[in-house]
Amino acid sequence: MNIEQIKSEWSGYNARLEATEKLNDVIITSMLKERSRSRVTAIRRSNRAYLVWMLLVLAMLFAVITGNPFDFTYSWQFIPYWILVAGVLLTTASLIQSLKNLGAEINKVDLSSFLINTIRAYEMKRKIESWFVVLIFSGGLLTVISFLPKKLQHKSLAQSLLETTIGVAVTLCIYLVAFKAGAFKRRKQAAFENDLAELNELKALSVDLKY
Amino acid sequence: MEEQFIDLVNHYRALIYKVCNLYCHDAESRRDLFQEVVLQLWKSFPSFRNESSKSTWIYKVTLNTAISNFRKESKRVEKATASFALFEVPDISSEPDNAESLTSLRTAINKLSDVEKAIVMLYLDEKTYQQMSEIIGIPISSIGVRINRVKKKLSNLIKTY
Repeated sequence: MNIEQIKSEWSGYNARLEATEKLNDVIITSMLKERSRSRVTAIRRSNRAYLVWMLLVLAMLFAVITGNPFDFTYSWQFIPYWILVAGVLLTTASLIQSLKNLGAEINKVDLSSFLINTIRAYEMKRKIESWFVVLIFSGGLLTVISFLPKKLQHKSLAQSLLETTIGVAVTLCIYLVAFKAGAFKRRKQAAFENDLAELNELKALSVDLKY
Repeated sequence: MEEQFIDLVNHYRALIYKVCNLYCHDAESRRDLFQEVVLQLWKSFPSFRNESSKSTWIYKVTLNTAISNFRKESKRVEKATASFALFEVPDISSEPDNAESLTSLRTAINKLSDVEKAIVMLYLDEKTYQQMSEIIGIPISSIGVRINRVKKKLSNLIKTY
């Protein structure tokens, strides 16, 4: 089949699609009305819920920092909470970016720019996710250490250090058990692998456009 | 505005069907993509200012939606229960009474990458280099080279069937 034959097949195919029955108003309007069932809307909805949750966590962390409910004496004791704030802020920024990307530009830009923007957003999301894990892990561990000065006020150095070490060990064990149990790992890893596969696919498409 | 929009979707329905058929391989995905395209078009319909032709705008939205991660990002969460649940995107090229040539053309196009599919569709739809450049975002100067490469690949693929 040469190109002329391909063109003729294609135009026949086109003509048959053109001749299909017109869509009635009910179908089109119900597509628009039922937009809450759309996949993109579902992603948006879950991102929004997560965003609200992150803002609540942020408010709680700020309440801890400003209200000082644990009677911290030194400003360094707040470091773990600031680390957690940084983690939550990163996630919040990532969610806002993701909400912005979902459909915001799809109607305005050409395919090439769209792919480039999507790749950029994916790469940023992946970087933020890895930072989030580091921040939450270190924030969790340091939180235990932040109670050391208070212990020192009432207990001996040896006992305070022992209790803090036990606290750190328990925290590490909890992280380890959670990781080994797979509850955290499975979800995160699957999401991470999907993201990576998606990113590689998008990169391949973008390269495809360049050459 | 709703009436104008419905007319527009109907006028360009063949174009949207074509993209759905090119990029999705089962009826449910095709219907999903069709709905997504209609939603995207509806969203940007009020801001469409005729800076480009209507067909260029529709090609852009439809291709961006089809190639973007939207169709893969999440599994379908809910089953369509709306009145369009029975709606199906016509997939003429897979009908059993088709000429063998159309079937092999479809099989060959399926072997192309997503971007190549877009290029071949625009070429076969006889879009100008200017329009193709606007839709895909590659310089006009390289459109010819890309078309020749895809045409050659498509011809070779067809020969193997």
